[in-house]
Amino acid sequence: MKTDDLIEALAADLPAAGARQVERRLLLALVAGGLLVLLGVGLWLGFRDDLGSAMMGPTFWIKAAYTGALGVVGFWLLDRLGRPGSRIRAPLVALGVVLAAGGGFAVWEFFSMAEAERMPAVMGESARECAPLILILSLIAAPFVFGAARGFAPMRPGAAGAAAGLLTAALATTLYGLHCPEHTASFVMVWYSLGIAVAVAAGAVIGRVLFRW
Amino acid sequence: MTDREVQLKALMLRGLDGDAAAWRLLLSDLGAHLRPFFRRRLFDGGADAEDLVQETLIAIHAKRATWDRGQPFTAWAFAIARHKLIDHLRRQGRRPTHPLDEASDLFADHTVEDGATRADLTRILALLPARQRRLIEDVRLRGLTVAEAAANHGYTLTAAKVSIHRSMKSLNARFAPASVDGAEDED
Repeated sequence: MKTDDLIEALAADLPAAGARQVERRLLLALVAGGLLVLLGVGLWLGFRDDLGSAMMGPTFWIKAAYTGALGVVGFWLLDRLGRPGSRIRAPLVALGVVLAAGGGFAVWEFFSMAEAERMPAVMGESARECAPLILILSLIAAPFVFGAARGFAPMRPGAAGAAAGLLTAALATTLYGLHCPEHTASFVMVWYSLGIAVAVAAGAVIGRVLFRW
Repeated sequence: MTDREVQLKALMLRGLDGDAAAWRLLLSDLGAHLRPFFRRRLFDGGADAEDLVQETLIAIHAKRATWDRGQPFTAWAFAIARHKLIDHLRRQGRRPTHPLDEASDLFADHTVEDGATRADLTRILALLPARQRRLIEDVRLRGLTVAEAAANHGYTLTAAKVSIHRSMKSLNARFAPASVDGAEDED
């Protein structure tokens, strides 16, 4: 095909593209995926019994703030990685800040506890099932997030996949907080983060295949 | 360079709104920049370069929504072209031999072939007084006639000729090897 003919053909197929079109689709996908995860948590895992009173206290919201912040950073990273010529420094710094704040808080809490309470605080009641459940919930949301993210044009598909994994897992984990009654920062920092990290790694692998263009 | 940016960005914005004529113009213009850009960087010039031009144009078309309106358009387009080039070389098991650093590589006016030469020139010309330098740039780099350049910068024709002659002479005295000195007299 001659290049001029190609240009004619492309110009003939030119639906208007609004500003932030890709992001808007991604947000819609997050809403849809989030609703499905919420359904999964509600019907399959069940909401925590003390959800009502927990929502009155700060711990529930601090947990949600940590995972929610990871989600925001994941969205930001994915958005930057998905636009040719964009820089990712700012979201990377933000990711570092979120992790450092969470880690710092957990360490402070850990050492301010009596020695005998420390290990039980880290292990909680559900250490073993936490990360796998987060992964399963992430799997429910993943098709929505990764599908919408295909509209981007990442220079580094692997990195973009990791960012999409972070976003997906952070969404799933935030909703998992409606089920999980664990309340110590050290538990959240270790086991929540572990589940999210595995999802990030899996996302990187998926992205390498799915985000080629 | 910045003129190009303004011009291409305007076309891009109209294209995003669905203006087919602007889009045709933009893609043709980009194609004209991409062709020599790829040819210079591929061993087997011709056919592959044209394939890459087409692939890049298709990518620019398909991914046009990923351009952020607050971002320079040329940087975005260049990143896509570079991505396509690297992808192509990787498929062939080769690494790029030319450095691919700057959007200005792609959108440079081709009066001066090489970015390095351009940088040298800028540095050397900076030695001249500003008014004299602008005159030299217009005549020797942009290809204006002496009369046009003289009018641009408020010289009479004769004064412009004298100024250019003096500039070239002083640069020659400074940079030309001693043996050639004077032999390369400019008028």
